[in-house]
Amino acid sequence: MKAGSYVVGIDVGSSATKGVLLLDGQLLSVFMLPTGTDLNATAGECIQNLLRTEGLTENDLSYTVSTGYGRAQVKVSDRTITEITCHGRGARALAPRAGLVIDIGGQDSKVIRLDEDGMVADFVMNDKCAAGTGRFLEVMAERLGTSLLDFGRMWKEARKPANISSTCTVFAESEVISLLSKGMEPSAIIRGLCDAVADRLLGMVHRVGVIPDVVMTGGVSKNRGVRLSLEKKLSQKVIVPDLSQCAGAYGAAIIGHELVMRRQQH
Amino acid sequence: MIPGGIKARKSHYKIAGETRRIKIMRALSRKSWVHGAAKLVINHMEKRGGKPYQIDAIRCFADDFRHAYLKQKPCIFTSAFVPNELIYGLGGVPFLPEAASGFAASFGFARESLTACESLWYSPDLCSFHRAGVGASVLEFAPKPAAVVVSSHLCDGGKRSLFQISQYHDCPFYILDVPYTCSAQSLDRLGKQLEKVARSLEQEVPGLSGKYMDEAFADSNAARNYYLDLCKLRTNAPSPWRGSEALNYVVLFLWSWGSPWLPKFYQSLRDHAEDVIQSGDYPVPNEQFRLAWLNLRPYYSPKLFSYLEDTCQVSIAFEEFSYMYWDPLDSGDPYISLAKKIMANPGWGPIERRLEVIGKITRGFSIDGVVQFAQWGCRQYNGAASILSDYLRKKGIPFLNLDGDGVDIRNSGEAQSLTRLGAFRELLESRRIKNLR
Amino acid sequence: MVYLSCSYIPYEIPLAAGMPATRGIFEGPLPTMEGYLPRDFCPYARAFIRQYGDKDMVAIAESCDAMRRAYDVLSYWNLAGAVYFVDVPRTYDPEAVSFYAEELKGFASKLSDSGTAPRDEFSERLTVAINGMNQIRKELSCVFDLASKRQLSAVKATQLAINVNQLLACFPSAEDPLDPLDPGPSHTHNLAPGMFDALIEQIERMIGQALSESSPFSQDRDRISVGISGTCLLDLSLIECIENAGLDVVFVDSCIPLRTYDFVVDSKTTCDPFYMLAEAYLRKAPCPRMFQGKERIWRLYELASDYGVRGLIYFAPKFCDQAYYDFIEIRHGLRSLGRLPVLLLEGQYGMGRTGQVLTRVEAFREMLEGTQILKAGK
Repeated sequence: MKAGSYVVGIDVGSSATKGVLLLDGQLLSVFMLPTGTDLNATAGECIQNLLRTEGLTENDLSYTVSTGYGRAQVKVSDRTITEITCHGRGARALAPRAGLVIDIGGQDSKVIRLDEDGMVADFVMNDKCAAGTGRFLEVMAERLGTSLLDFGRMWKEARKPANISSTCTVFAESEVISLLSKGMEPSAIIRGLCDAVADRLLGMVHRVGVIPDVVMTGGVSKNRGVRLSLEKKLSQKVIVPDLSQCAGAYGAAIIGHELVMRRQQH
Repeated sequence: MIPGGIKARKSHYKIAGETRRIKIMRALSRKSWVHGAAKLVINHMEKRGGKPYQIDAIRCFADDFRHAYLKQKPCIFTSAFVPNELIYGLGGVPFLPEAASGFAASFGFARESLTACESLWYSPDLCSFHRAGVGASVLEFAPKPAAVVVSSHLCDGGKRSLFQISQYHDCPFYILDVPYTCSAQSLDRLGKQLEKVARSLEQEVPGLSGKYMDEAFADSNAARNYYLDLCKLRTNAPSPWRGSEALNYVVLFLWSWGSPWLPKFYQSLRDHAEDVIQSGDYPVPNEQFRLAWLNLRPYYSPKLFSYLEDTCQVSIAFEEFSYMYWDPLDSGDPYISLAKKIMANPGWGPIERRLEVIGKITRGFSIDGVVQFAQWGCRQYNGAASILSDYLRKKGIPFLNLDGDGVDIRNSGEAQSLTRLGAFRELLESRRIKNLR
Repeated sequence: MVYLSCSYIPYEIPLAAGMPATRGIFEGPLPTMEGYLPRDFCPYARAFIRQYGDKDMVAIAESCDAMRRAYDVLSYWNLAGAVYFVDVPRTYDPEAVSFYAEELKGFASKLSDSGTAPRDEFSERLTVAINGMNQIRKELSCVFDLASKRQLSAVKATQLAINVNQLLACFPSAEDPLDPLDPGPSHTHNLAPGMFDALIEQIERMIGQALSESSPFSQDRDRISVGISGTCLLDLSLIECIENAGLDVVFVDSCIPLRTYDFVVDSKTTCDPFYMLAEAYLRKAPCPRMFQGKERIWRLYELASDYGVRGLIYFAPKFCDQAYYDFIEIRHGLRSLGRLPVLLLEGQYGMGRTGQVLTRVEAFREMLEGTQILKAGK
């Protein structure tokens, strides 16, 4: 174990719980697991895994910041910060010129505009159901008998996107069934689905304003199909950093580290 | 006129939805050669044997659009239930963004308009006819208004969305504050407002003058006579005119009263209906059931109606929005006359007024069932569903409240709508069998 | 009991008619009444749909499409003893005021038919009611001033306004003070001299009690101030949520409380009291339903400047079209005037208790204090 200040950021999302461990502000390790029914226990398991990897115990931790929809349930947390602020900070750390962050999680999506200091300048969240989020894509992939990992490949294979008008899971599912029965290629349907998700995001993106670089975070950032559709609609490159899925946890850990630094200075 | 104070600056608006085809359409719509070419195309359609009423309608809309886009006449934006005799009577051309949304949807341009609107923070829970109207305006795909006139009755979204359009274009905005109940006092109040608006428009908008008012009233009354003839013919079973098409022409009913071309159009349409009845060449020849259709329709998808009319052999015999609700206008007392027209709208006032009209339609057009198209976000009409259901049940007429969206395809599930219409047809059939027993 | 649907309907008229009156403030739509209006309707309109007593009157104002449909439903299904439609103009000018004065006379006449007060005393009683309500409005204005100075939490100030609404329904006499939180059955009253005095004394006691209870934030001067605006604040949960998230609410521009009580009716002139009522109610701080140009934007801008707020939280009841459109105007106007950040929250009754809303409010707070988190390490 190295001497220094260990900080954990933990993002308890609706689908996955992500944890990031920093040592003096430098990334040490990352861990991710599905969110169970007991949010505190899941967070605890995530933290234990991070610590175990580095041979640490809870006593070695200087600070823990929790974020995500289950942030208030994490009992060991020293501070809770919303996922909006954390994704903003995490995205700026992962992509230093980030101006706009698009975070699509399991059940919601957020668009965050950052100012020159990397602070949140404006944000908007979807307010309805799971329309156009990770859960929507999962249901569609299931219906098409394919994996989410294949979306990027199939998107590129499609000559033309199918016309999918709705991101409502129920309506879109019946559209997909109807298109399949007409013999439409699954690749075209997948591209159509990705376009529909991107269309839905477009209104939100323009509400806060497009400031390059555009960075995508959250679970859906790993879906290359959605990223390609977004790039096309925005006529803008969309950056997906390696740790995009853990941007919230990383942002939480960075804020935690800064708070520790402040405390030490005072 | 509503006072301003904070100047709208277009640079404050960040707008999405500006696709290449929107840019092209916007540029083309302002070229005089395009409007000239449109005339040639319409002439060609006529020579190829297009139906006269369809050619008339296209030609006349093309004329109005030419005047509006090329700024040959002042273009006044109005909400759906403003009597446009006022605008034609002043020598302007009206433009109804709400109704134009239907055009945008049928030509496949709604998505851009809706995206533009949402990027300006309009909620997707608002009626899409209004959202698309705002979108088309801010994308400047619609013509530029010289002024905006709205009425306060019936629909909150209409007046609010048009207020915002007036802000965007920084043009005068007028509201006719319509009293709820019709009395001498309320007619007087509304009449005075109409007169004030007319006077102010004359002063504020160059090119407007009240000298055409008599003409507009005469045209409106003449068109009304032909229209009433057409309504009589539409009581015929089988129906002489496809209801799905009639629902498209509701746009004219909302838009064109007072225009010099409306009498000719309704005359052609009346003649067409007469010809159909004489020849027996009905659009739904094996008509099994007759429906009354309430509210508007989805403008992007013909599938719903081909299923209803061709597969199910069910006619839409008459539409709520096609109901002639006002008396002939009196040019001797123009503003009170227009006030009476506004206040005669059966959608205004207590629900009993609307029920009375629906009752008249069901009786007059031998209606077997009533379908209300429950437009997403339309609080004006959807809110009466429980009452309509009860009222029609007591009269023994089945009622279907069909959820959907006339412009925003994302709010509609076509498969679900087809299933519900099919089930409704089966219900009508089982009732008929039961009655025969 | 007369249930009023809107801040534009004067309490004074039922009071003068000898009828207890209350602004309809409910806890949400009743599950048993769900079928009457569609689910994609404003929750306030849906909450108004309930079975009222045979002797109750519901007065619905011409507020919006949804409330007109609520009126239709209540009258078609006979859900109250009487349902009356009050046609409130959407503009403020001399013609609108004259029109509204006549409309209010019609309302008074209808109420006089069922009220306990003799008709020939109505005019005199109306003046008493106007003076009494003016005093109450002044008391409540002081309460809002205390909230804006952060001497009283906005939750408590709003609760006081709601309690006063309940007191008006019950109209206690000096001998029989009523607990506003447990008012018991309402009763007609005779508007006897001194009755308003008793009521005002009770309000003053309530204010004193509220002030004596410690405020959770009054000591913390670093908390950020925000204002709330919107059509109708459905309940207190949103203000509670905002205060719990670490923000101080210094004004609540909603029909309950501010826009109902922040004005006085001129009762000193010799003019027709109905005209003066119409004039004052139409001139008061405008609701989003009104068409008064940019007046709402200017008013919010002034409130924000006067009270030094750093952000505005706009609350739109879900499916409230007036609020959706108003928000766009307000957001655009305030940004043009001074770049005041505005957060939009949409929701139903009890929405302040949901995690999604708390996340948005906390994120808004973090955004407003962003530099503090980063630079001050707070």
